[in-house]
Amino acid sequence: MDDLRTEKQVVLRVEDLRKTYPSGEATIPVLKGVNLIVRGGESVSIQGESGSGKTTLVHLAAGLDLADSGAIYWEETDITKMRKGSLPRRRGAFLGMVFQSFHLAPELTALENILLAARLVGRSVRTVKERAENLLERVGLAERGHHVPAQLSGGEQQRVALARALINRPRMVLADEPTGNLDERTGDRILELLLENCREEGTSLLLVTHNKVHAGRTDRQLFLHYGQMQPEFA
Amino acid sequence: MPWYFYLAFKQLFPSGRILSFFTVVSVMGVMLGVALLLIVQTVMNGFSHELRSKIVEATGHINVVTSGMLMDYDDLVEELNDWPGVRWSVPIAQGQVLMNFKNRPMVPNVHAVDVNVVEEMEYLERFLLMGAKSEDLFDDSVFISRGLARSLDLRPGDVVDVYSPMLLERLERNEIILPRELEVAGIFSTDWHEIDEATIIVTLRMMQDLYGMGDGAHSISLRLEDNLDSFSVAREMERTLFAERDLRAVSWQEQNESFLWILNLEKNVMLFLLLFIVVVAAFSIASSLLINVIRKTREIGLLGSLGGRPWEIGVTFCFQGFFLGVTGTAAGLAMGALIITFRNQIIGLFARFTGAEDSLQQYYHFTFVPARYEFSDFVIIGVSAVIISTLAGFIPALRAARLRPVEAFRHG
Repeated sequence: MDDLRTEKQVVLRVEDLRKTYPSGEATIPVLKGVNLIVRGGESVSIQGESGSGKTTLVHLAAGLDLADSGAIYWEETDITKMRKGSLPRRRGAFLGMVFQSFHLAPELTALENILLAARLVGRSVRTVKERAENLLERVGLAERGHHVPAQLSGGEQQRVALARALINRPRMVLADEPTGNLDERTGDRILELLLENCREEGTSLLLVTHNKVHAGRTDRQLFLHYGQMQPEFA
Repeated sequence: MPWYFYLAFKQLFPSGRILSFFTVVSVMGVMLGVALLLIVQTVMNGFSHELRSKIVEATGHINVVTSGMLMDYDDLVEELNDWPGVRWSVPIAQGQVLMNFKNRPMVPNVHAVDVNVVEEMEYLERFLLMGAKSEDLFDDSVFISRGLARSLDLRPGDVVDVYSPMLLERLERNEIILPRELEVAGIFSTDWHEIDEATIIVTLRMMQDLYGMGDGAHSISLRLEDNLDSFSVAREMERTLFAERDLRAVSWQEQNESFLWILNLEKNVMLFLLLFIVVVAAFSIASSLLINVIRKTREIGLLGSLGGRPWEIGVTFCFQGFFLGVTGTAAGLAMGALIITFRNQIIGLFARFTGAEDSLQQYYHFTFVPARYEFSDFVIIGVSAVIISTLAGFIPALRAARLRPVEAFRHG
């Protein structure tokens, strides 16, 4: 259906992004002029050593943190120039986020966790409930919708988190080491779901991972080395 | 429903659990504080109302006084009886006498009434014990208060010697004086300690004789129709009826201004002090919510990353304080009202278990706990408890709202 969306339109463009963190009286440069382009329906992985700035790049790309300089475009919009108050709602609709630690609300069931992401951007539950149930079915948890996170395994929780990231039909999914806390087989299943979504819904994927095999399955592989993007090797 | 209210409810009533321990404890804290406040205020209102009623019963609504003695007051009494809202008026005199019974002297207050005022005598009869009649009061008899009768071991038919200050003046002039011998015609109890402790009632004629008052009286006591504001009636009388005369109308509120002020102060101080119970409950809410915010740091970060605005995240926690306050207050008001409704059964049960039934009657002179609802108490207690609880949620809310998602992920 979304073949039109997957045209080579730029979904995320990062230009000369720089970020430093204070450390006592000194500052530590984490990103030293990073450039990045992710196109519609494309899957891109970023690898790098710990401390190379991968997570910082994801946070900046998601508008969760402020860069020292540079520009971040969500399609045509430079989010570094966006009004602070309107950014969260726009982010909720434009991006889906998956984290290493799932971050599900423990007081909500799996289905309610998925629907919460829709509520957060002001969508009526009635209009998205069917999609939420479909997503649960797609991630293989159709029977577990009314279970709370404590009743789910790590892999199941990550699948719920994935369904939550997709509920608003985002243009892009930012996945920060989504398989980091999972065993190999479960991790493979999660990655498969992420890539499947790229193919079927045309959603772009920016995947931060340590797993070379997983990175190898994306369209492009990037390597971040001490705050600088290395040439692509895929 | 906006997501922040939805999530607040879900945090208070999580899916998959019947009740949240935090919610139950927080609601109970506010509930107990509010219930206690309501019970104390309502019972104090009851006592205050009882005391006010006793004052009015014992002293009348208004006293008409002059700078000296009231002489030739018959026309005035008639005028006052014709005044709208006045049920009857009676000339009275008050003072102190020395009383002696079996060589045990006492100095009781003396209250003298005109026995010709039938309404006043009928009214007096309600206070008489052991079947005594108001018509038994003659110039040579006396009604004795319960406390005085107990102190001197007096019974109807006993004869007491009464000396007045006027007789003592004659004693100073070396004249031989004889006391008035008065027979105890009845014992009365008003349930107002100040009167019941040591008071005698005599006829106005006897008082005039004892005090050398001639045909005078000290004042005229008025009894008004129910629901009339004594203070306003007194002011209106002074403005019109007494405009050109040396007379003053003093309402019972003015006569007992200090006492009523203390009653009011006592109630307000109790409200202020007991409000701290609600504050303590609110601190427990604040502390629990703050722990919740710290515990849910990553979740709060997630809410921001999924599209939640800072103020919306703040409302999620502030609303919990408000909701706990409203629920606890409603439950507290209901619980308070329930306990007040069954207060006498509860006290009775307690007294029966502790064997203190007789003590209650003997020392506190009541067999029931008075209570009186005042709408303003419900409003003040309810609004205060909700405001305090909401404020308790404000600090955690502020912390949650200020939490940047990236910091929440980093430090959570």
